[in-house]
Amino acid sequence: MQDPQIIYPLRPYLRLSHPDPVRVIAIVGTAGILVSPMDWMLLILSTAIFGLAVFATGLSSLRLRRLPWRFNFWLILAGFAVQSTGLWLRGQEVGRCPLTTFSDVLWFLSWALACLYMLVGATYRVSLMGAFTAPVIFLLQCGALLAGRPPAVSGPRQAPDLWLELHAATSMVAYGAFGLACVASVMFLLQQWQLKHRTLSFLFFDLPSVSKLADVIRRLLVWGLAILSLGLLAAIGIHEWPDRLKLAVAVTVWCLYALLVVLMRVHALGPVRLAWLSVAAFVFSVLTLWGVTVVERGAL
Amino acid sequence: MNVVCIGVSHHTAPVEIREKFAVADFSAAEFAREFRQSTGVAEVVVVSTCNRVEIYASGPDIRAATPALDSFFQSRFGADYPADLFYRHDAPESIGHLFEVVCGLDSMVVGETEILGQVKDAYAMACGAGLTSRTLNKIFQRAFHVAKAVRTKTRINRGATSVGSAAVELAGKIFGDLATCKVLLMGAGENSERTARNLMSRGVTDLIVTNRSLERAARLAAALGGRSVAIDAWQAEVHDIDILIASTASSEPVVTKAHLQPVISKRLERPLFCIDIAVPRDIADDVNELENVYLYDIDSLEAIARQSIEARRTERLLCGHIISEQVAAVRQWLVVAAPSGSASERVGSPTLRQKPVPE
Repeated sequence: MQDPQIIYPLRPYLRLSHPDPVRVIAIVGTAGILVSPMDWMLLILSTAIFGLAVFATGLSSLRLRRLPWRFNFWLILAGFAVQSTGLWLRGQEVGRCPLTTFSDVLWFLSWALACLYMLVGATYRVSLMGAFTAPVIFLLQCGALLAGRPPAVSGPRQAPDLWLELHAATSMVAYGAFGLACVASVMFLLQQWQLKHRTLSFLFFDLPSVSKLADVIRRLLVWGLAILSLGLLAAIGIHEWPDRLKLAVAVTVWCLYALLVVLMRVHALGPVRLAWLSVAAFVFSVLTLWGVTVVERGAL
Repeated sequence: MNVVCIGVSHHTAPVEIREKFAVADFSAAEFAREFRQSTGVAEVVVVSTCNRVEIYASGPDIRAATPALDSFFQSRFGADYPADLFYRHDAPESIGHLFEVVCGLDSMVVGETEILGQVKDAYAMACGAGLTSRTLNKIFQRAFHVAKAVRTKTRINRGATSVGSAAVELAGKIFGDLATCKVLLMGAGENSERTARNLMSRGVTDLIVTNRSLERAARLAAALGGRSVAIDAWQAEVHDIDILIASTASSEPVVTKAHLQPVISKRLERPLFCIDIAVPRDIADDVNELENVYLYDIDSLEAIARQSIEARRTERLLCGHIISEQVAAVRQWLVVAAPSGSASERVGSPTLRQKPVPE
């Protein structure tokens, strides 16, 4: 019996005796994407867009192709639009602000980072910030994908606690500000290193001045702390308190950044140390988010 | 329709020769009209700068106008005008040459941007005097488009090519806006003044001058619009300055880490940029170890300038590709009857695109 006509073009891909691994992965991956829920598809799509931004940055850096740095801004804007749509659909599914799982948290955090980048980058005209922000967003979204999509919500939904939603959402926006401060800190440390060691790379001319970057770091830390403070205040109104571990982590992160801001205000920290601490604090904050998830899963 | 470029530049003649052929702005239109009348060409643009005098002409039969061109220069500049110092390019080399000129590739400092404005002014003058028509309009407008493309797609004009401009560029990358910076000059010599004026060209207005001779300090301060202080009082000023330029005649370092450490600890957030252009150096090298202090001496500034010049040389290749593409595009539009041996005519000289980059 002859194979149906439709099989002929697929024959090279269906050689079960000698399967081509790359083609098999491509087929399975594509099929997986196509049968995924729409919000998950949009997360994958936005991750791909940010991945393209990282790739474009890499090409420009290697001087293989002279892409304008503003190319990053448009890619991040496109990725942000897809992210926003996906988050909205996710929110519709869970019936609340989509911050119910670790994957949601990373997704929301990357959304906040993209949103703040477009605000700060445009307001302060921090050139090249997109080139440094895109990889962070891409990594966070990859983390969200690796964390896996939670099972579909079934059964009756509980009425959302608005104070809990406000606490979670504002905390993530604050983390977004801290993330952007981390990005600005990396840019500052790079530019400062070049100036200090008198070794100027091609990035030197495109990176902003160290004074401007230091100013952006300070502002983002202050705003982030202010927003996180609002988030903790919102937690007071929660009907059912979050578990003690989450509360302890939130307060710890708040104390860490409050200490940074105080030291900054009393001029006890130079910009170099502030930048390093800003990077360390954000990495710590993201690790605590993951750590809380691990502990919760272990407890369950 | 042919397009010819005849001229003399810093590549072919020293300044004492070039200055004889320079055409002043106010007489350029008259010169161009006279040229067109004498030679019978249809269109003409005269570009006269400190480094070149070039005439771009277009007409249905430029080859026939060659004797007229020679007699024009003889009548204008004398029978013994140095014809061997003049070069002549016919199309398409003339078009490529114009593109290279406006992109700054033929300039003393490769990638400089001033020439573009000068050529635009020359073209605007010729256009306003009715000396251009379809051919030169097309070519010059395309040249300006090429200059813009080269600037956006390459890094030909990136980086400082001199010690003074390197210092200004570094200051820009430390402070951003220089208009709010305070500068302290230690030493009232030529080097200090030159560096200070470079910074002033970027917006610096607040200057303090100190020197062993208070009179010289006061004189320089008055010339720069700043104020002077006695040499012993420089430490009192350091806490409030952003840029320190040192160029004294001292044989030992005047500024040490011990001097600046207590000052820096009270102004951690405010960077200090130290430019030491003295030999022997005025600022101890370990000053660079202080947080938020950036120290550059004459060697490091020269190294940055050399690096930029080298980088611009590398960018020439990419610029060459862009220019070649555009010349080809113009050639398709422009029907050229290339005369035999129409490549650049300059006895004993290589073609322009292979000319060594000026230091």
